[in-house]
Amino acid sequence: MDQDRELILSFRGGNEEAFDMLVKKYHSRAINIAYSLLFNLADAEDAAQEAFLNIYRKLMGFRMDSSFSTWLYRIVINSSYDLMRKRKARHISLDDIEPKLIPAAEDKSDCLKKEAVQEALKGLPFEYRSAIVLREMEGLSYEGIAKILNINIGTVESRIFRARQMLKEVFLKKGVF
Amino acid sequence: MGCVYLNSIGLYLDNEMELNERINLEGHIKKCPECEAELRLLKLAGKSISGNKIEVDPVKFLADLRNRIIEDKRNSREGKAVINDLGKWSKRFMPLPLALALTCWLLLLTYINESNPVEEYIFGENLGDISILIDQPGSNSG
Repeated sequence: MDQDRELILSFRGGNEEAFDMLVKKYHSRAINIAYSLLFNLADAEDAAQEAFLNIYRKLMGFRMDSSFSTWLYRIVINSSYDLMRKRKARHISLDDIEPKLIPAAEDKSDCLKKEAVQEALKGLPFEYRSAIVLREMEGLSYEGIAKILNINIGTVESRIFRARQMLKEVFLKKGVF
Repeated sequence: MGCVYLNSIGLYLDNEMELNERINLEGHIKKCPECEAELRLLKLAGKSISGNKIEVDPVKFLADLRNRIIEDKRNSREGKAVINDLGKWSKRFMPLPLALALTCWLLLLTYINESNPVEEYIFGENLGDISILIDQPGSNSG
């Protein structure tokens, strides 16, 4: 966190490379959150870039009341939501998912199939999806998620609970479990 | 209905419980196959979501972002330039609408005062002549 603060202060002092370092540090997380919400690599990159562009514009005025990552996640989720609304007219099917995706290196033999997970996540309302993605992908506490989504902890708890129930129903229905 | 602790498994998994509650639930899960299955299921779902990751080329991402920032700065400058230009032009031509309004007003006044043929016909000489004819003594022979 202190490193982020130093980079922000350095950027404010005129060091553009400090911003690049922030991007390098967080771009992967930003894209993965956007991808889990949008299910399309091009859209995920677009949302992440839009988020970093917003951050670049506003970094001078960032008051550092919250951590940089909290701020970033909030902006990424908002960008993803905006993009999703723009794309709503266009039906996004699993066929749209680009074939050039590079899966993460870890062994996923004990995971459900990627397609099944995406299909199930797609069925969730956006607010449930963002809560469960922040929890499972970033391992954030309910308090951290509440700060990012600007809601209270009780709401986070119920959103995550409902998201899990809905996912479970889909998985059981499809016989994935 | 299922076990009463079933709805608390998520909180346990997310480490969002008080320590004593956690210890109690842990003891219960060991004895309850339903809760144990729920925990396994939620763990698998969570792992599957977190495993749903992609990697992108950071160099390309940063290069694209830098291009976007440059374009944004240029658009912002052009936007400001247009606003500045509009400001200059509006200052330059500020007296024009005033002058136009004044000219219109003067033209209207001139038109009303000097050239109204209808008014002239009714209240002017022609009408005067008629009234003289009507009012002439002896003109009415009755």
